[in-house]
Amino acid sequence: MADYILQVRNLCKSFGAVQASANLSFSVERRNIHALIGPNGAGKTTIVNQLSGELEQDSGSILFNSVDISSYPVYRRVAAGLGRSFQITSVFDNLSVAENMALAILAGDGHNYRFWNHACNAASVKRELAAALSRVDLIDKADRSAGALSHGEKRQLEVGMALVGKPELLMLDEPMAGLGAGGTVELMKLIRQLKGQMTILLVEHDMDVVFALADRISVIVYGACIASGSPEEIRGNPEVQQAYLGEN
Amino acid sequence: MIESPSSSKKKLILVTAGALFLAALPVAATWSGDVYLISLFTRVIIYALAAVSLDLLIGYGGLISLGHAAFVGIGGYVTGILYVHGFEGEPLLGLFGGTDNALVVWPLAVLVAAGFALVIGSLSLRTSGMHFIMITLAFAQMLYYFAVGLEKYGGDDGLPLYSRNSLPGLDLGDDLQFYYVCLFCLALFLILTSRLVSSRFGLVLRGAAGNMRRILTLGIPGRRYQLVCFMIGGAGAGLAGALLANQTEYVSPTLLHWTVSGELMVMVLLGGLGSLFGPVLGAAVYLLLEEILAMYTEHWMAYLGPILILVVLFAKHGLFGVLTGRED
Repeated sequence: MADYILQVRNLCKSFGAVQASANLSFSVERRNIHALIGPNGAGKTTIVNQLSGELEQDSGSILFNSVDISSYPVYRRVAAGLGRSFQITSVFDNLSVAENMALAILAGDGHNYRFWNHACNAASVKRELAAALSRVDLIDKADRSAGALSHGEKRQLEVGMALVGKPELLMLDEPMAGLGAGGTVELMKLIRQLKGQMTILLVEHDMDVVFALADRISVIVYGACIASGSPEEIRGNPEVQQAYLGEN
Repeated sequence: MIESPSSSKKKLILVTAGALFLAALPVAATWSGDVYLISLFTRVIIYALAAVSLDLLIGYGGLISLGHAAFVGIGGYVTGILYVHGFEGEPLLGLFGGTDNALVVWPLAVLVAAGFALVIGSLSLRTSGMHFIMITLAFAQMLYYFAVGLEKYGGDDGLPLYSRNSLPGLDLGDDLQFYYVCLFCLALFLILTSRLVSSRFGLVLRGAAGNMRRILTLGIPGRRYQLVCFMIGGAGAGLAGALLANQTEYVSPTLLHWTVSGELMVMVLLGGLGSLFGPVLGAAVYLLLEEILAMYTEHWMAYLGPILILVVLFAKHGLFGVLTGRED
């Protein structure tokens, strides 16, 4: 039997009359890049928000490493190994690039009720900061205010911050959104490097990116998963073509 | 914090100059015979302590509290109530005697204020933004009316102390010695908070103020850090309250009134939000302007208002920001 890191079972979530998740079930295999695709408004970001714990489901369960985490608050899910980046870039604009990254490093290094020594002098920050900034090509901009970065750079920072937590499962919500062609190539290279180290749940609009990266694809339509399979299977699935690819 | 080298150098010069000024002031005042300056600046220093503790909440924690006077008042009442019980020899709650020993009273004032901050904070922090402002204001006003109703401790009229607290080896009744004790408390609090804001705790706090959602998705329970910050701010205000009760030898419900919270907020904004040292300057400018303008008119607020508007409009980081050339 396959080794599933994440199993979503019969997840339901409605906003009034709108069903954002309709009896949604899918499973993600360990060390795969698993893509979620679907037409606009299919409820992909709502799913990510439910997985991360920001939205509570109406019913159904989420199993992470076979443990039901569906009642965990956000920070406990992160501690369990579920990391995410946001569709709309979310960094700390009021802090410097280095402080942003330091915060991400410190988040995984015990408690932060330490009031005296400078945050950037913590052993874990000294050890990891330079490498973490280099990995996303931001070492030269360490002292800049994060709010002053370009959109692409913010996205690099965001992904870099999600990576330092060494999540077992990393959810990337439209990581390519707003990036130019060059940025997209860079980020694809980075995601490929990560494969094998962690499982990645990729929500992405760009079909070229999805078919180039994904091992498995689940297609979401109206909050339900209508098909799951390898890129070839998905490409050949008539239902998917009708519901989604055919429309493009 | 992102500071250019020139602005951090200016800051160092300014803080050193300010420290030297405050340290030398009583000597100069005694020499020139303007002794009233000592008590005026004692008041400045005590209000500065309260304003710095509020700046920690607003400027770093993003917690806009309009009820900070509550903790000043609690510190004051702890001092006053312990004093009265010590004076009359009647045990407090029938359990323990009162005291006027500063080494007992002041730490207790700090602890009780922090305890109240824990309760008020854990309820208020369930909200944010406008609701947080309103709920902190409501708690402070509640305590204000509670103090008004405390008939046993003077109610509306307040509670007179017949002398200042005693501190072994010193005479706090002496204005000069009391001045330096207050200055020591302010310096200590400034050193502790300046370390705090750049520490790991401070980084989490500043992150939570800017983007709470991201703090949570990093796996940090951000609200708890804000609560600890709220308690530290409350503790600082509690100490200020104990000192203020000592200076005036009088405690009254007006200490808890929302206008005091408002004054503290004005001092923070005037001096410079999120700079810790700025509010010291803010407290000095506010109280000195009050003193000077009040000599000419009883409507001095009418002149202070426009000054505040100009500072807020044209100097984002307050007077301290203007002097240090802070730009971010």
